[in-house]
Amino acid sequence: MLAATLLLSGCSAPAHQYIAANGDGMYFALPASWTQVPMKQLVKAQQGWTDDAGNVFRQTVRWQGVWSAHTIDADRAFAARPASAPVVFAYVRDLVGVEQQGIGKDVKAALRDVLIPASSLPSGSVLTQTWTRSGFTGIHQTGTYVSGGAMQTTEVVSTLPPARNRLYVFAMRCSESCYSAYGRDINAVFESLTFKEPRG
Amino acid sequence: MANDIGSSAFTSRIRDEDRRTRKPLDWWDRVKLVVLWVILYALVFWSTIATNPIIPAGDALYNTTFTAPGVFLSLLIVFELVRQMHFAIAERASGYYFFWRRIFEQTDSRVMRIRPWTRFRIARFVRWAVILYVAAAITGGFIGTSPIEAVVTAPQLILQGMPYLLQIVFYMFVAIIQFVAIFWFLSRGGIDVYMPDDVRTRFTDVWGQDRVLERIKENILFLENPEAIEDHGGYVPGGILLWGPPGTGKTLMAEAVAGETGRPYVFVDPGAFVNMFFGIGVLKVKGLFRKLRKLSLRYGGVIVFFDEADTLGSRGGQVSQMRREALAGQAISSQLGCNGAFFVSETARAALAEEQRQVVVPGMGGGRSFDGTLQALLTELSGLTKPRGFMNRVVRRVLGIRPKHPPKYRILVMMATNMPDSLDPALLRPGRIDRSYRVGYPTKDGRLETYRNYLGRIQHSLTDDEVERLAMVSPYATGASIKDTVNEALVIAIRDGRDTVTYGDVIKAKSLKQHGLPDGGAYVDRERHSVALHEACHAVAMYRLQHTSIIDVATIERRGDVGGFVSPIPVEDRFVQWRSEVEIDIMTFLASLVGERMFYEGDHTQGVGGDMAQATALLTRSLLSHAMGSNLRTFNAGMLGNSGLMPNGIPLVQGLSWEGAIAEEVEQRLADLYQRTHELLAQHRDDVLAVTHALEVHSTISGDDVAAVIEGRKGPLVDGRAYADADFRRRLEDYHAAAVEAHRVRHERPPRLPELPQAQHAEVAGE
Repeated sequence: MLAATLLLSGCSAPAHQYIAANGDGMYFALPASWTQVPMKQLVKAQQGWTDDAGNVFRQTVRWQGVWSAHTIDADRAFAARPASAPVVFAYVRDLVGVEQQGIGKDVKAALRDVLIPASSLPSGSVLTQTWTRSGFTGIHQTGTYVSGGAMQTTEVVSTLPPARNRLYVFAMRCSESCYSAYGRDINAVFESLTFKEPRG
Repeated sequence: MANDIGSSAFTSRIRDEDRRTRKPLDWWDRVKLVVLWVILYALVFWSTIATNPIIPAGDALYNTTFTAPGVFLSLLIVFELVRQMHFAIAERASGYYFFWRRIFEQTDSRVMRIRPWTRFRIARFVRWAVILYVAAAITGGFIGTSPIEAVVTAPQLILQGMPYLLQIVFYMFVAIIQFVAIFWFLSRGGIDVYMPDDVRTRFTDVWGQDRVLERIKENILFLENPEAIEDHGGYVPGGILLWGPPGTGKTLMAEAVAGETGRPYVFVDPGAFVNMFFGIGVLKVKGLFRKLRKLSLRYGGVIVFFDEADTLGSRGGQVSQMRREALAGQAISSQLGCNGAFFVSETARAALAEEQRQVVVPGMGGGRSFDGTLQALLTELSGLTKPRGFMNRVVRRVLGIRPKHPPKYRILVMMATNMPDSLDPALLRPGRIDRSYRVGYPTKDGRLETYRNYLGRIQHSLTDDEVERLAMVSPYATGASIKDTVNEALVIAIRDGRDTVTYGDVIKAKSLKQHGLPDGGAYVDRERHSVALHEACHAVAMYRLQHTSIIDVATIERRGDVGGFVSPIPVEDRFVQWRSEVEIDIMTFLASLVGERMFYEGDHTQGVGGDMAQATALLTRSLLSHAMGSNLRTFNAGMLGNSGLMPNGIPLVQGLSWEGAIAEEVEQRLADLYQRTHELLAQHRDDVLAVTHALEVHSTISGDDVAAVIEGRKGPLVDGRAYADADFRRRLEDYHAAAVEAHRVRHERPPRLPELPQAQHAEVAGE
């Protein structure tokens, strides 16, 4: 049976690992070699987010995870200076009432500064495009700017479901040079990114 | 085929131990488990695909195989394939089959060498380990940790979920406690505990039952000093049953026990075990004995009394076969005399028992115990010594320490009933109710003492002789009835404006209690005379002939359908009757017909019908059942039917007709006795007329007064001296003649009743 299974699967382990936030409808595929930051570390690191945004995040997050091409810890993943390997940060959180009301018709403007501080960066640093898939509407941003003394590239998809009660964010970040080196993987990852409206 | 029907050569099926290869499996039995595991595997694969829309099928298959369920199922499938391959080889290759068979047999024998208890504990350990692992794996899957981590964090998880768990437990508790509370509430009541000195009755207050009292005192002594018997190897009797007719003092005796004993006394209400719901009785019995055990430990002993024990100790109509045979045996004994059937063979006795079985009516009525109450009582009484208490039974056992045996509970059970036959035999066996005492009617000495004591509480003018006479003429009086009679006599005295009770008051009270209140209606003079004459004939015959009984009272006062009567009292307890005594009884019955015909010139009233029926029945039974006739043939009650007699007094005998020999003998014997009675009354004609006059004057007179009238002396209430006067007797004859004339020619003015001579009349008027 094992032999038959291996035969069917092409005698090799899958090249990707498939991440699913089943309850919230976010799915993507990462290269099989990429590793996940342990959830405990992640939560502990987020305890240090003491500003308002950090407090809101901790209270409303529903699902999250951090992966990287190299093994890193949570503090390094969120450090200002980019890592030398791509770091993926994906999460789903509820939108509080004020946030929902503030979205309005211009989704692009509403999601502009979700992860990348686009408004405060020099013009041209961030490319923002509308992103629409499976009923979800949002933006796809790619920003190249200095952070922690190094040039980094951050690519983010921020999207809202039809009900506009949650925020889905998928972000990839690394130094400018590593972004080029891992370009194909990063493109494949973003290609796999899928959203499905959750039930209930 | 070997087993074809019709084949002459039947071939028996081969035994397992005789096989050379394994028994072939059906194809479905080979593949069913593999099919099952494959289906489960497919379900897991399908789940992987369904939960992740982006995963390709190949990667999903790989992931399914290398996740925990997939690995497990894959191993199962592999194992099953190997197993089936093994079976397939064993079904074909004999050497392979025997090799493995030897291995398994050796393994089995090694396993069986382990003690069964050890095997059980190993299996239990493995079972619980598997259960624990599965629970941990499921919990770990839910909270996203490994099974071991889930076990470690389980207490914390339970604590977190405690508010919800406690809510559920609380709701369950509320649902259960409602029933518990209802049953607890219903199981209370009906049981009263009296401490020493709460009851003032003493043994000296119980009269007329000295014999039984002595035995009860003995039981009390054993309860208070058990070492007196236990040191000699015996045991303290645990139960006493007092049985007997109502009012003989059973409950009073129990009350005296309560007053005398230095131990707590628990009285159980008869109605306590009549319950609305099934099972309440059981709870009450258990609660009762729990209380008894506590009291016995605290006070060194306790007495519990069940009054009207038949309400609890009976299985209703379900009298056991054993009991029926016992009753039948008693019936046989009673039918055949004092030796019963013990001198005949076993076969004959069995045949007689079978014949009697239909006659004996099992104990009907009484209590019923279909809800387990009796069974619970039997269990509690059985004295099974078992360790009690949760700490003692469970905790000590868990720690490997043998539970402590309970101490000796000194509980004396007393029961009282007037229906002992309805009690379950299991209740009456030694070990439960060890002693059974009949509390019968008091003896004459007992009645005498009772009268003296009750009369001692009031003002009275009775002499010792009169009190003794009272005791003698009250053969079936109980303590309760004597107390009631004395009280009624006091009421009569108070009604008459007196505070001193006389002998006459007591006699009247006794008559009232025994025979009831007369209707108060008056006879017309003609009828009064005939009724008085009728009863006087009975009285004179009884006075002149009876040796075993005396007259209690003679009356002509109407009570319902009864116009008058003469009631006898046996002077001693007898169990057998002689033929001559039977004849005397018959003559006493015949006296009314003889007397009426004699005194009314051949005429007589309908009132003799009952007497004649009784006389005929008595004579017939004596001829049929007691060989008191010319025949030796004797018939028992079974052959005579349920009662032996038809309602009109004519005996029904199977195979014999009324016109037959028996009927002729009955007629002949009656005629003979009639003649003898006629001679007697003719000889004592004056006595009949004297007693008739006394009855017409007083309406009711006691037996002593009947004797005084006949003997011509002063009686307790009636002065009979006038009746000794020849001149007065002549007047009585003239009066009677006038009465007969009035009867014959239907005069409108019947004769006047002669008045007693002046002195006696004054005494009569003044009473």
